[in-house]
Amino acid sequence: MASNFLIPTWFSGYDIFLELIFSIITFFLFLFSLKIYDSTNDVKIKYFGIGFLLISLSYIIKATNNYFTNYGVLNNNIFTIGTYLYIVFMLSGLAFLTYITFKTEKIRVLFFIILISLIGVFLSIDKVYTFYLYSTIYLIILSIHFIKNYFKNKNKKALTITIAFLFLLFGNVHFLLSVNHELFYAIGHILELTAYILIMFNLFLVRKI
Amino acid sequence: MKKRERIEIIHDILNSIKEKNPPVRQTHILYKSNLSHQMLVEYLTELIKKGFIIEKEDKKGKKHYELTEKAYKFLNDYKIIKGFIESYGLD
Repeated sequence: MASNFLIPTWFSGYDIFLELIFSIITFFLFLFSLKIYDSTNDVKIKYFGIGFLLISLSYIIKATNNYFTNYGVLNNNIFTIGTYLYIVFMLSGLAFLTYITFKTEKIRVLFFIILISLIGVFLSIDKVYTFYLYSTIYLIILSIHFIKNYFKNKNKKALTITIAFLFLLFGNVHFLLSVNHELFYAIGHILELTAYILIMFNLFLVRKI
Repeated sequence: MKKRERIEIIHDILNSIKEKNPPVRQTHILYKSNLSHQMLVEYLTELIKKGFIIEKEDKKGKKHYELTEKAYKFLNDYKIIKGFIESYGLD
């Protein structure tokens, strides 16, 4: 698996707590998408919801993995399997979200991008680093989509989502750097937290109307 | 002038049926929704397929349209749906 994150000791435990919060927020987003899908039958919204469900599951896996590792319950092999599962769920979730931004309805495209990224990660020497590289690419595509969407709609709701995804992108870049510097791991989590607070704020704005 | 999004067109079609008190003829929907005939037929086919409207024929063979429960739910939640779709650019 090669490199792993350098976690600052003072941050240990907080990361698990934050990951659980991210999991709850993304699951809530999945439920909300399901509600919208129920009213619209729009396949794009279905895929959007599935994307967030996969991301939610990935956070649960990551939090569980970190929790049991902190208490020394997991051996190295189980920890590695947990990390691989986290990578599979997170990358697939991001691939679902990215697929929506493409102007295509061909489901083959979705499976192709999932397959390509998973093969890319699992054939690489440093799987964790490659995973963060791929997820950064996905987040760049998503951020561009949301920036374009903001300039099209020019409202507060679209702006919160654009900023949220830029925070997720910067957070991810910090995880990429956390392979070498432990502080970046904590900063990455805090940036992610800011992003998810903005996503929740957006849901509040949407429901307020 | 800003181009109408798909979700707005669907809303206009369903709303035109609701306002006239169903069953409603295609010509009325065409007039209210401001679409070409071909586009309207495409939308109506999609809305029937997705269970938003029901197509019926009278004795003269003329088509009428009625809303389903699903359509009423869509119209009730329209602002939330639109806000959500606009936020993420899902149109």
